[in-house]
Amino acid sequence: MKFIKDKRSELLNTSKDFYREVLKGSDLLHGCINDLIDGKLNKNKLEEVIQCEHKADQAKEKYINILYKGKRSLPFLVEDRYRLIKYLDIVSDNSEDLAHGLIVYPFKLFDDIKADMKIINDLYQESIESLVEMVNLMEMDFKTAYQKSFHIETLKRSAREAKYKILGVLYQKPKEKSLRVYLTSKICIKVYDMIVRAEEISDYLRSLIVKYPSK
Amino acid sequence: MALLGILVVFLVIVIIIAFGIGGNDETFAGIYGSRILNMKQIMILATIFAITGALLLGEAVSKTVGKGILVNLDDAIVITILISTAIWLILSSALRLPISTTHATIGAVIGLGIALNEKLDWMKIIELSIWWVLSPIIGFVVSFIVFKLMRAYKIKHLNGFQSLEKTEKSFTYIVLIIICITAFSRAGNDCSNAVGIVVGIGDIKVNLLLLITGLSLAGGLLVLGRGVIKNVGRITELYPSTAFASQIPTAGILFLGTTLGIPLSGSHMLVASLVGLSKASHTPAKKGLWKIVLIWLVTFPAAAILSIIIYLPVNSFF
Repeated sequence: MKFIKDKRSELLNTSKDFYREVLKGSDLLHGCINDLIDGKLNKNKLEEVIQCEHKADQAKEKYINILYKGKRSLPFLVEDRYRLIKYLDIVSDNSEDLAHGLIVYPFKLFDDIKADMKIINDLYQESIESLVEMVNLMEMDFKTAYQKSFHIETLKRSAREAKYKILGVLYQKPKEKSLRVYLTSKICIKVYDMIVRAEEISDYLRSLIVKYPSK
Repeated sequence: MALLGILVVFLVIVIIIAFGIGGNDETFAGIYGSRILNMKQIMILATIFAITGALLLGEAVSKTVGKGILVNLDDAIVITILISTAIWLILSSALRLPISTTHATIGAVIGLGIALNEKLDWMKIIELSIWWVLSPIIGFVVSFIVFKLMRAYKIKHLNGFQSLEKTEKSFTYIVLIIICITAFSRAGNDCSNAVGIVVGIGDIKVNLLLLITGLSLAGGLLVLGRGVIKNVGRITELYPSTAFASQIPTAGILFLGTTLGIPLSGSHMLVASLVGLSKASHTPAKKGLWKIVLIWLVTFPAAAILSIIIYLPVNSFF
C-alpha cells in the first residue's frame, strides 16, 4: 500500500518538476520577446530558455519511466498521461526552437508592430500558464479544468487577431528588406503556433473530461 | 488387492474429473481482464484456493450427480456421467472455451437415460432448459444496468484522474476479495462432484482424497484453465470497476439462485454479463464470441453422445 502511494506521489512530483520547467521556459521566452520589443535582446536569457527545455526533457523521461513501471490496471489512464506529457513537451520544444531562432535573428523589430507583438506575446504566456494549470486541474477537478479550456480558446482567438494585424503591417512593407520581413513574420507565426498548440491540447483534455466518466 | 485395484481406478477417474473441472474454471477471468493481477499471480491464488477450498469445504458438500432427472442411478451410470462430463470439459478447455459443467452433466444424464431407456423427468429437464436460456439473459441485463448506474454515478461524482484512481483501487480490493471467496467455495463444490464416487471405498482417508482432488483442480487450472481465463477475460475491455459490474451481479444472482434452488449457469452468466458490459460501454466485444455460443449449443448433444459411448466399457468394468 505504501509502495503504491509512493509511486503515485513520485509520479506527481516528477510531473510538477516538468511543468515547472515548461512554465519557467515560457516565462523566460516571454521576457526575451519583450526584450526584443524593447530593442535589448539578451542572448544569455535565451540560453536559459534552452536549458529549461533540456531540464524539462529530463523530467519527462523520468516521468515516463515511472509511468510505465509496474503493472497497469488502468492502461487508458497511463496512455492518456503519456500523451499529455508528450504534447506539453512539444510546446516546450517549440519554445526552444524559437529561442534558437531569436539568438540568430539579426534585426530589430519594426516599431509599428511592437504593440501587437506585445499583445501576442502576453497571450502566449497566459495560454501556457492556463494550459499547465489545466493539466494540473485534470488530476483533481474536471469541472474547473473544463472551464479553463474555453478560456484558452478565447486566448487563441485574440492571438489570431493580433497575428493578422502584425502580418498585415509586415506585408505592407515592400520597400523593406524581404529577409527582415520574412524573419519577423516567422517570429510572430511561431509565437502564434505555440498558442494554437496549447489550444489543441486543451481541446484534447476536454475530450478526456467527457470520456472518463463513461469508462 | 482387488480392492486396491478398484481404488486406483477410481482415484484416476477422480483426478480426471477434477482436472477437467479445474481446467474450465473461469472464476478469475475478471481479475485477469482488468489487470488486477497477472497470470502468474492468478495461478498462485487459484492453486491456493483450489486446495484449501477442497480440503475445508469439500467434505461438507455431498452431491449425487443426475439426481432428480434420472430416476434409477447406479455406479456405472454415475461414473459414466462424470467421465463424459470431464472429457467434454477438458476438450472445451483445450479450445479455451468456457462451458457450464451442469449443462454438460445433464446432457450426459439425458443421453444415458434415452440410450438405456430409463425413465426421465422431462418436466425437470424443461425447467432446467428454461433457466439455461434465462441465465445469459439475466447476466446480460444485470451487468448492463449495473454499468449504466455506475456511469451515472461517475458522471456526477468523478472529479479528476486521482479520484478515478482512488475509485478503481477500491474496486480492485472488492473484486479481489469476492472472487477469492467465489474460488474458495467453488473449489469445495467442484471437489464434491469429483470425490463423491470414491467415498466409502476401502480405507482411504477423506483428507488425502480431498487433497488429491484439490491438487487435480489446481492442475487443471494451471494446464488448461489459464487459456479459458485469458479468453473470457478478453471478451471486452475490463477495468476494476467494470470487472465489478460483471462479476458481482453474477456472483449475487448465482448465490440467490442456489438459495432458491434455481440451477443458473455461472459460466453462461459471466460471459453474457461481459457482452452486456461491452454493449453498455459501446466497447466492441472480442471477435470469435460465436465459438463460445456454438460450444454452448453443442455441449448438450455432445455430452449425451459421449456418455453413451463411454457407458459400454464402464458398465462392463463395474
